[in-house]
Amino acid sequence: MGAVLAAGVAPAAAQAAQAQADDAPDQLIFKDGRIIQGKVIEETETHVKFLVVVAGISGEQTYSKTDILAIERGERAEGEGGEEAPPATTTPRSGEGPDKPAAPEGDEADDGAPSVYVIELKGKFGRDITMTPIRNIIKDAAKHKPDYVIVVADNAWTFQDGSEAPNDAALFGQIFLAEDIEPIFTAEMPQIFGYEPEVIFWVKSAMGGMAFLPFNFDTMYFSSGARMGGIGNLIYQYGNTGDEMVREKLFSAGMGHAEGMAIHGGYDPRIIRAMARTDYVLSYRIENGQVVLVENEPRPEFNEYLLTDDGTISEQQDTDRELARGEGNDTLTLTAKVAHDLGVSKGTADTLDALLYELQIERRHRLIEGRSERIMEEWSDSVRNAERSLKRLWKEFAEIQVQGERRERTMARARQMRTLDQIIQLLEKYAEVDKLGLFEHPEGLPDVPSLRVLREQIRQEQMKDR
Amino acid sequence: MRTRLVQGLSRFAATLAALVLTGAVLVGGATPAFAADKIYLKDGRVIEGEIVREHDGSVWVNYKIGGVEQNGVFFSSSMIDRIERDAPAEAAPIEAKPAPESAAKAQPRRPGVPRAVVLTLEGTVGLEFAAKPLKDAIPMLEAQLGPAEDGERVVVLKVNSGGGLLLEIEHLHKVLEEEYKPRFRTVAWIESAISAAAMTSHILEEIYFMPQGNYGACTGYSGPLVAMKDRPLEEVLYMMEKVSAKGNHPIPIMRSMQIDEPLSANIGGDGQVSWYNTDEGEFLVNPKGRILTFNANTATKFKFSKGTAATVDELAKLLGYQEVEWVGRPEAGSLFPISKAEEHQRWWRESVEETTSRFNEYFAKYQISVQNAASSQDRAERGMFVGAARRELAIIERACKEHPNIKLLNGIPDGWFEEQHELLRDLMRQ
Repeated sequence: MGAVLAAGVAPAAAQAAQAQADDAPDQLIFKDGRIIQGKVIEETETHVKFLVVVAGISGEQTYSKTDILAIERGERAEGEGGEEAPPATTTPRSGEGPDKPAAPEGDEADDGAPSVYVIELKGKFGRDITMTPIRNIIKDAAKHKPDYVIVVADNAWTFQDGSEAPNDAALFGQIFLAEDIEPIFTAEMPQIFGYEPEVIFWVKSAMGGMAFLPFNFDTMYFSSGARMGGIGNLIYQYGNTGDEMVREKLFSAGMGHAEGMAIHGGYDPRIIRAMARTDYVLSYRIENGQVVLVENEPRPEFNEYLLTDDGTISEQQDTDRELARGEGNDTLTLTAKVAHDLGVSKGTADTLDALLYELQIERRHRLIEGRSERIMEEWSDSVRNAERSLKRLWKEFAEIQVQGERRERTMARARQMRTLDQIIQLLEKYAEVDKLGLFEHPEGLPDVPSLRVLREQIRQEQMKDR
Repeated sequence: MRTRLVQGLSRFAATLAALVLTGAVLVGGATPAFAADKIYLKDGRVIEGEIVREHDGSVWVNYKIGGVEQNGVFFSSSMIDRIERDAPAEAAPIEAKPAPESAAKAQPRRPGVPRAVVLTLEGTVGLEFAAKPLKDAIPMLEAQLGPAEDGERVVVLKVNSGGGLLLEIEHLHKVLEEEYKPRFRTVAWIESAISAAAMTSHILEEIYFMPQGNYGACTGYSGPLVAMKDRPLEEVLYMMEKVSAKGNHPIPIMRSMQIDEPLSANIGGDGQVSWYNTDEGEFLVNPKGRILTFNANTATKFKFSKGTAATVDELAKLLGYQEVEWVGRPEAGSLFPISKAEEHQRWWRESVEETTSRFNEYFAKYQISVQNAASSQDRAERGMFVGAARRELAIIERACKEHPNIKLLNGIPDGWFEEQHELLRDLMRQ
């Protein structure tokens, strides 16, 4: 039944048992239906070290995750707990980020002050910023019952080599991940909280798929250096494949999704159309303090300004100089000024204090010390660790030699199948990252169905081996 | 079968030992009599009992064998083909909160208050989004919505699909037109209805949008984005003209969703909208060179949609009701209660997704087993591999029977299963 290593109770584990005496037990649910209760001492990608307590006697055992169906963590008596709790070896971080304000003087818990929970979505969209960590953050936030949830959109917009990508680089196709993430905020969060908090999107960098997300919310602020875009490749996604009418159908469908998000948040869908379609012409004028969008070249007599021209006409295509300086207008990239002019952004704020001032709660608020930053880091670390494990496991698999006596061959095949199970488990666990091609595979690793077939081949070889 | 029964009992013994070790008691329900949940196993067995715990598709079941109670017997998800629940409110997943009584039991109707359910239509048309589960849901809807004479019965079809198989559309139309519309006030609530999903919904007179809703882009194509043309295209255009008539939608709208024809409209003083497949109307809804997809704003403005609703409460107002009884059990994260009919749609989708994602795997495993059987000199060994092949073949066969489109999409000809059974019999005769 997997690698079960019985050992005496280590001092750390005994302390853990003592400290957590008031907590509800954790449960390990095995694939054969067994359930044991105790405490998770340590969890890695492939093993769980567990303190089993029976009739007052403790025993520490290590179980292979290939045998485990689920790990359920009991409610903690104090502090944080639950499924998203980190492995026991993680040490708490200290210090605060540069944007977090110092606590106001004389700050005690002010029960009447609105509470604020900040979620920083940093890293690569689709790899670091994806459903699992966001769900875990929402669960953490729910414990604190915040009045405001400030979501900082600050995704990395870089090439593979880490260099900064320009405004005209584009990933419209990430829209579907944004659609998967959005209901976590709009449907799940209110259900979990039991009420609807104020959700504020603070845009610092919302490029590629990240650009769609803030559109679903009616309150956006920008930092002064912010940019929101990187979705301008809609009409280039299929090259010259097939018939133009079919390509146009697919563009129309994609735009339908994108415009839907904008309408959902209360924005004019033509703005997102200008961000996505290079051939779309959009200008604006201000009339009685209101923005009026017009789908034509600007008419000077009406004091109209160009937002985007038809970049498919060669004379109007952005030049290299314009693109290098981020001044292209074939597609729209929202900056703080443009976003404010168009009424997309309610204001510009460069620090959290400034944002809280805009929200009129700067003088009196309670900033919640949540775990969102830790959760994001742990997720990113777990993805990296999983990639390393995958590489190691695939190498290990390749090195297993089925030879020698029958007993040795049997053991070798068992190791092969266990290794494949671990690989499959990792690929399935990180499927949300894998489906966007952002989960690095070792060379030659087939997909999950092929791995299952390979496993079956080994199993049948074992059947033949008498 | 007998061998597998023995295996099940061995697992029970191991489970019992674990329960003693932990002191945990798995029997969740207080009722001594077992509810008739049915667990259909892939090996053909059907377990009738009470699901007392579940996790990610694996279940622990109380049931009887020969009058002897078996408590907390474990069946992993990999063993399970499907589950039919007798009382879903009681047999809730581990993480779910207890369902309120009203969701589990049939409640008396409140006079004058319509009853409504939301059914989700999601996934690929012809696979997850199909006529069969909709048709199968009708008895469940009749049971939960009550008899027609007791009050209005409303079925809201919440659509979220990127389209799929043209061949399924007619089956869906038939079920909606001949089975649903005569029985229920049947409306569409559009989250996303692209291509075949829009063409399916088009038969309904009442179409409502969610704020993020989109509807259209119905150009038919195959392979590497090659558009339908000539006779097949004309047939689909004609089919949708008839569907437009049944759904009371102007013909030019769907044409502009299917082919490169502009769409414009005039809005008269009385609010009536007149439509043209030219660009001469007052409002250019869809220019030449583009394929039409409505968003919530344009759908409402031009009266294609009867309104936009973000929640079921808002939808109820648009439907003209002061009050609606939404039938089903509450679920965290869901906009609406989950009825048995909706559970059936979800079960269908999960089943199809599992099957389609693993179909090639089942085939490959079957072929490996056949090859090993064919190369085995020893009869007993050959029997082992033939047994394995039969199990995989049974899975493939059941998948094709339950989801005929999977058989079609994988090019399995008629008679293939009979040939394979004959092949396996021949292998055993050697």
